[in-house]
Amino acid sequence: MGAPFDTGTWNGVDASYYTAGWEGIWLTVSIIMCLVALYYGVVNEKND
Amino acid sequence: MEEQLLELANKVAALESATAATNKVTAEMYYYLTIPLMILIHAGFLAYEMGASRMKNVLSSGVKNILAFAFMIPTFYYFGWFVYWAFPNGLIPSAENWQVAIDYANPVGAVMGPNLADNATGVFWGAFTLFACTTASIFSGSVIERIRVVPFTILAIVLGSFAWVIAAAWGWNAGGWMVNSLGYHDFGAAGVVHMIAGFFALGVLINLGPRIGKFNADGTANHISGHNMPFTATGLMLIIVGFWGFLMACAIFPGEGWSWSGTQYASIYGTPMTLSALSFNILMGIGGGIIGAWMVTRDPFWMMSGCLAGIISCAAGLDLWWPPLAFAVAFIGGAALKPLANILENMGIDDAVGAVTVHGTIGAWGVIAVGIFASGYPALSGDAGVATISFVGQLIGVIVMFLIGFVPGYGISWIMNQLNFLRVDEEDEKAGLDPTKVPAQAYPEGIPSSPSKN
Repeated sequence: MGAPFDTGTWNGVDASYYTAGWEGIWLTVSIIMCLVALYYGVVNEKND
Repeated sequence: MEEQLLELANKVAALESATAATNKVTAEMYYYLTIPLMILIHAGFLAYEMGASRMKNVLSSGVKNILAFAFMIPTFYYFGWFVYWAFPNGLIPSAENWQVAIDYANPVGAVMGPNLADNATGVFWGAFTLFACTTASIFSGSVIERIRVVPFTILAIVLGSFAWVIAAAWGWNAGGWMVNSLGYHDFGAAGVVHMIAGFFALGVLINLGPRIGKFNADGTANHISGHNMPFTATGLMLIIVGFWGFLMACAIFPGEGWSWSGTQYASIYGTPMTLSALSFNILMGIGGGIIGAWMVTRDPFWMMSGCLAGIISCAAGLDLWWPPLAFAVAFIGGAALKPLANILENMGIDDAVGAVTVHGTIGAWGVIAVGIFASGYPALSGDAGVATISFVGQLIGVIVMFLIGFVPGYGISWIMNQLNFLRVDEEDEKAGLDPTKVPAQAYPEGIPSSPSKN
């Protein structure tokens, strides 16, 4: 996590600038969050 | 040959002039359009608060909200805009900043009115004025059903035309001391607008006290239902629409004399960004906030509040997030919302619409999240050596924002309370503020109640 460039300046940054290397992790985390929410939705509907 | 060259030169000059005119018009229209979009925020809060009120108080809640909007406009013109330019270095303005404020924001100055040499000041002032209106709107919902209109309006003026503006001068301004010294980063004003308004409301709520019937003798809380949840939910959705205008206004258009860049959108701090990033991250914030809140509550009121919480959770770093990270940050904000609101209620605070939690506490989460997940980015444009975003800088920012919001809210409402000026009389509160304070009826023919699950 943190800035993907360590030059300490935005000068010369002209392409993607998100936290390099963590994209797959956050993609996985966000998908898991959706699945967890849907799971609890199913559980709650069964208990209604 | 020379004639051809001259003709070509004239054509190029004409094209350059036309291009410059197009850019100028587009830039001004960009900010002009943010203003009606941000008025939708106010329309949304109006619906939200009226729906959250009991029937006997619905119009009085509306009056309060509308009046706050109205008073923000002239007071931000008289002194709010001036405060933003004069105080970036702290509570004592430098001579240089004072002169900048005189040049840009003098209420009797040439640029604060129609001026053919200045096409920009009014649209910028207008966008900032609507930010001020947003803070007042955030505050107004929390205090419904028992606050007097005039003290509420005075408090709203202090919040909207002074408190948040100080916070913005310090932390939402490339010359602000918090940005330059701490690397404080708050692209979408999670701290400078939402935290300020939320914790200002907390300060007032402590002195205002709960609505009659909210708490039992043993301290347990009773739920006071609003009379129209569909109206409230629709209002929240309108706020979300208006929020796009708010966040649009947080970006600096390129290519003008006042722009940071000739070709690239920038944040208020001059750091480069794109509307593409905003689009990704705002939408992910909306989705994450709603889903997180739904998972915990299954209640449409809290789901839509979660939507707002999701955007506020992401707001400070909307220019920086990787979109699934924005979703995760928003999901956490949405899921934490109801438990955090319960904690506040268990402390004896009656926040009728959850404003302290949604805006104050979640706003703090949004500022901290930037320090956790985006530390290391330069906080300003320019060569190496500028301040960088850090967890400590964001944490100090949270403390400062809390104090700027809470201290004036608590202090002024405490004085009003001592003067017996803050709260309506008990018999008026019991009878309802509409029959006792408002010369109009919301539902002259009445509305039937609907069956409830419980």
